[in-house]
Amino acid sequence: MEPEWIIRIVLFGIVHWILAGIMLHDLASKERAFGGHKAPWAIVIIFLPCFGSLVYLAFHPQIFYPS
Amino acid sequence: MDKVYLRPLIIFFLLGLCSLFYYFGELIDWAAWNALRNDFFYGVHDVHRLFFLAPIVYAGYTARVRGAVIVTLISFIILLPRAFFISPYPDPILRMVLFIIFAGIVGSLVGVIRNQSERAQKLEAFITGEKDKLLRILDGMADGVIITGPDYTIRYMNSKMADTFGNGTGLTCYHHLGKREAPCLPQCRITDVITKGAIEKWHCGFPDGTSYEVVAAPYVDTDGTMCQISVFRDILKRTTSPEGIPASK
Repeated sequence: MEPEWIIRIVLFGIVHWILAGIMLHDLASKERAFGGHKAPWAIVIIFLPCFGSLVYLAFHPQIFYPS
Repeated sequence: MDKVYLRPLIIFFLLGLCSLFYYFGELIDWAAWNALRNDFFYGVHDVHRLFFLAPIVYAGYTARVRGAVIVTLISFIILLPRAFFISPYPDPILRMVLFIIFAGIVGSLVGVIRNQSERAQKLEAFITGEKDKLLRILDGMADGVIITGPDYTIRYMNSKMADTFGNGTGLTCYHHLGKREAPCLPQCRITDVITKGAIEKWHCGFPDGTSYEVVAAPYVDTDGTMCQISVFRDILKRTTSPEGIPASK
């Protein structure tokens, strides 16, 4: 594999896991997630790199203003 | 509708607008909008990228550090396709990563500054409330109390002092209380109280024959000025009862 591609994958991975960490932390601190179940959201966030987090963010915009 | 509910929408709207602008050249190609074709949309996208500072800074301002970090990461995801696959210019990934680091720092700093500013405002309101409480207590005291600034200006007089001497807030203490044109030296020790932070006690006589025992202590006013708070105790009233018999000590 070319070094260029390794850099791309590493960068994408870093962004995915930082975002996933923030979203999973928010999901864990919530009493109730959109749709009623938390597990599907956790799966979406982890297994759909970046896009899962964006979808979670779109359905839970209060993550910006928790109070 | 509460403004707080609109804020995430504003962030998403700004991000959408920036994304549209960032990929407008590709959109023109895809939709064949030849009339809109311009070199600006096909050059190095360093300037176009700067527009993403708007949602990042806005998120930092309204949603603080957490918001700034999230929006910076979303911006990063939006910028990735051009850096990875589209840009024909040298080092697209490096330039994009440098911008994201810069924007993330700026957004986070905005969040930190806002946090500090809000904290300072709350502290100021708390201190003002505490001062009001203190002044209400002082107002109910039987002895006279005044707060004097370093320039001898009276900043506060309690009702006892105001009843005896008349309200002189804003006037110099030596002029209003002592009817003098210069500070009451050498007995007045305001300089020691303010500069050395000492608690001082002295006797103060006025032209009408009244004499007071003054106890003074340093006091920092809400504007941060070091002042003097003085308690004036009428010596004649203290040493004699209403019938003229000296009171026991």
